[in-house]
Amino acid sequence: MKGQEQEFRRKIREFVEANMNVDDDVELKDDDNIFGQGYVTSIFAMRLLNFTENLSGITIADEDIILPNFSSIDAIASLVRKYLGVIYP
Amino acid sequence: MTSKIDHPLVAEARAFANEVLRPRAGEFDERACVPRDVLQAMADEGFLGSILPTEYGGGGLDPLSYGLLTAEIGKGCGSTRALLTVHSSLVGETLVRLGTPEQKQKWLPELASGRKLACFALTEPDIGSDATSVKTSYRFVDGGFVLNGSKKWITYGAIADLFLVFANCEGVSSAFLVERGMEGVSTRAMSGLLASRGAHIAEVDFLNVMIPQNCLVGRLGAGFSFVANTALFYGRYSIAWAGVSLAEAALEEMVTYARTREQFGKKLRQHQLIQALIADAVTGVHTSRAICERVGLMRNDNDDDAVNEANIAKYMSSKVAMEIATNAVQLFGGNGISSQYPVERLFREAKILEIIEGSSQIQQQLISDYGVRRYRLEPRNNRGAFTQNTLG
Repeated sequence: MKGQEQEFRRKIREFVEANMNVDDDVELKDDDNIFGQGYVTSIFAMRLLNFTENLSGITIADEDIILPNFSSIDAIASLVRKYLGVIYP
Repeated sequence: MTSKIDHPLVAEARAFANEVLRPRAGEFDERACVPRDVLQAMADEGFLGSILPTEYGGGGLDPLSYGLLTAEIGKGCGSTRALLTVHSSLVGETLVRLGTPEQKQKWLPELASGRKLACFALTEPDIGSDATSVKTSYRFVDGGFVLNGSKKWITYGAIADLFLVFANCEGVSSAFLVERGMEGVSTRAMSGLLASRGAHIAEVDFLNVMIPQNCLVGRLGAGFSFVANTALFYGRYSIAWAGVSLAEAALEEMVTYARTREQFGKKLRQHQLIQALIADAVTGVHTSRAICERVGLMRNDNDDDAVNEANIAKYMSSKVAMEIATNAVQLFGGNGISSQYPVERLFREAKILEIIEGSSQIQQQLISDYGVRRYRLEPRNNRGAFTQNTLG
């Protein structure tokens, strides 16, 4: 289970890093607020929602479609864990 | 031009456009009104609900087929196509994606059947591209919210029954479904417009409008980040296809005229500089159609990158439409500036496509950000060789 969550986090990280408008020396931490830090703009939120759903196979309910749930790798992993109990990449 | 994967509705849209819309598009423009009976026919034919799921009475079209359908309607009449953009794409598709089950159940059958028309109310008198800064405000009251503010340039706002409205409360952006019948909602049709004259564009005022809690779309704070951005993705996809349709319509007018009009003892099409205009137009139409089809296929596959590609498609096809419409007017010479010929209207309509759903300059910013991420080279080894970033 732990390995699956690590793989999920790795893929989310890869996606976020590929979409950050920052210089190459910025290192993304799991608890970094990607919107608050200015790594991405809020325009990215809907793509992150779509990517998370595709990756996890879940449909995220409208009450959970709020920026804080997508603001960091930790937050996204926590959200998906709520749906699946465990993470399936 | 047809696609091998045309859905029957696409062929029906083509016939409807040829028989009903194209012969009357000039009249709609001149009278500044697409008549109700035409809009109802659009609904009855299943075009307004074409992209909505069948469980709500829609046609269940895949996004690519919907794009092709949009192009067919757009070739007939831009002001009529504009209803597809706002009603079906910006509001309908967004409700499918982000509406509550109750909102979907209540509104999607109404939108699919055309019993209710919907529009997208984001832009304001002082706020255009800077959409996060809308001044329309909401405040909390028992049972819901109270909405105050004004919107402007709202396509089909003069006759729509339902408004998807964006408002702020102390910097928290939220989206609401507002009905025309709610107390405090008023609209004023706008006139004197360059184009989209038939599209019932209006100013919309909200004066102490009481909005029930269940009219909130998404959660508080999701207004711009999720709802508006989702809607604008669908809207840009629609406008990208609108560009293809307008470019094709202008090309057809150019070619038809060049085959009959004679100057210096030979047909226009036999003059080399005219051939250059036609060649560029054909190339532009084919390339913009190709990129729109590519985005449609990506949407069919639920490919996340369709968002970026839709920006490129919208930017490119609107630019191509403007270029071809401009050259069409040029080719027509004096006749090109007369409303007796469609190219005059197409020229005006093309400019609108470069402004709405994110201006060309906004698209350039987004595309540049995308390119800076996607096409950077990363150090590969100590000898200084580089490899292309492939993450996208």
